[in-house]
Amino acid sequence: MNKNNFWVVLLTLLIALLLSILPLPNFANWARPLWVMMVLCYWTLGLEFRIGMGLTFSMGILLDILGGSLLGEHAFTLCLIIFLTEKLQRQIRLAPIGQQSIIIGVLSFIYLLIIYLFQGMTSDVPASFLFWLPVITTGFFWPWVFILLRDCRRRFNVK
Amino acid sequence: MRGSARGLRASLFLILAVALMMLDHRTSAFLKIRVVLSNIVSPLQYVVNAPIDVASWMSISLTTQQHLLSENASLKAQQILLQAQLQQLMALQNENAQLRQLMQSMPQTQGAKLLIAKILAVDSDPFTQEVVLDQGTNDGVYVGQPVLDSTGVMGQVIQTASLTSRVMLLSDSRSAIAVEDARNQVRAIALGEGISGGLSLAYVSQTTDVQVGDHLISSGLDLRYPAGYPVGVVTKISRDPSEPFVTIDVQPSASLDRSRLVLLIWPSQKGVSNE
Repeated sequence: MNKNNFWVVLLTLLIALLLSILPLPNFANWARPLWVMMVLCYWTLGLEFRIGMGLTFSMGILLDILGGSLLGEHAFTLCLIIFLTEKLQRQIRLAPIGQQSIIIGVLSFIYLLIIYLFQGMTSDVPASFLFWLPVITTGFFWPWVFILLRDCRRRFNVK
Repeated sequence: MRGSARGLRASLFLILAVALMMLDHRTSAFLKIRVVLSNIVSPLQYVVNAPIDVASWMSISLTTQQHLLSENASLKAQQILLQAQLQQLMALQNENAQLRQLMQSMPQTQGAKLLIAKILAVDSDPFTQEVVLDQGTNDGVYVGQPVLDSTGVMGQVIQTASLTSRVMLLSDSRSAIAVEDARNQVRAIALGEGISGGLSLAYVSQTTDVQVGDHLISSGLDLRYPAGYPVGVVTKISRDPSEPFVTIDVQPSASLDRSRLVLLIWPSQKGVSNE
């Protein structure tokens, strides 16, 4: 449990948070990849010790505050996704990067499904299929995020 | 053993999240906590906004003199036009006050306090129709404060932090505003349509006189938005005789998705004036 250079993890999470509120043109707003989920998933997979549920939960709360959504919505979803990732850690780590992308795509589908349910219970749900676009974009960006964060981890020797 | 402990921890956090959601949805107890958390995240919002600010500053400082001159000329022309209209308005205001005196009714108070705020370039959840302003409680912004832009009512402040505040636009599905038809003073309530970005009039009966192209202004009866500001234009009316009410689509007057500068308004008097 050597928390060596843990600040790198926090820095990447901060960048992910910034990316998730970066202004995009209207048509691209729906396609925004789930950056925070990807980064949390990577560190859950790539580190010997695991990203704590407390950290995951607080990232979710920050996302809720930044996005103006129901407090706890993203926190719930992120905790569940990270729990699933922990359970499947061995299988995902051994899979080639293409298959990993597909798994991350499936995880982001679950993520969106839960958000969809919560939205449906509290306010209106989007009628357009654009809502599901992040499944594709998150899967698409996964290899790049993976390689970038892996280099980061080796460079700063995060253990 | 460690696996089951992890599972326990995860389920504890999941239950905590559900409890948070219920409390946040059902009660207003979390407004204070939201304020604290917003104060924590406002630096992030300023950081994301900064490069866009720099870019717009660069484009301003790199414009040619020619361009500035022509812009200056057109602004001057606009100012003269506006001043001419203002003169007329002052005459009308005097006349209105006199007429009100004759009718022995309260004069409508003028001279509300205004503050110009800038919309920070940060995106919100695509479900919500909200924007973040660069003014907060430090400048006296309060929850429930009406927000206008140069062409009409934009929405109201729903959450404040010391340096930022969050505005719910009229098109949000939780938003409602009391309006009246500028043509014949028919009163109605305009509800936000959510993701589509438009408004609709609620509970207008089949026989009510509303036509396509009618301008709707705020009536002030909701005791939240000031009276007399443009809200929208009726774009479509579908009358289905089997329905009790007419479906009326309204296009908001304010450019909800394009404005960058907005006005925060402190109505000088709470409520409506006695008619």
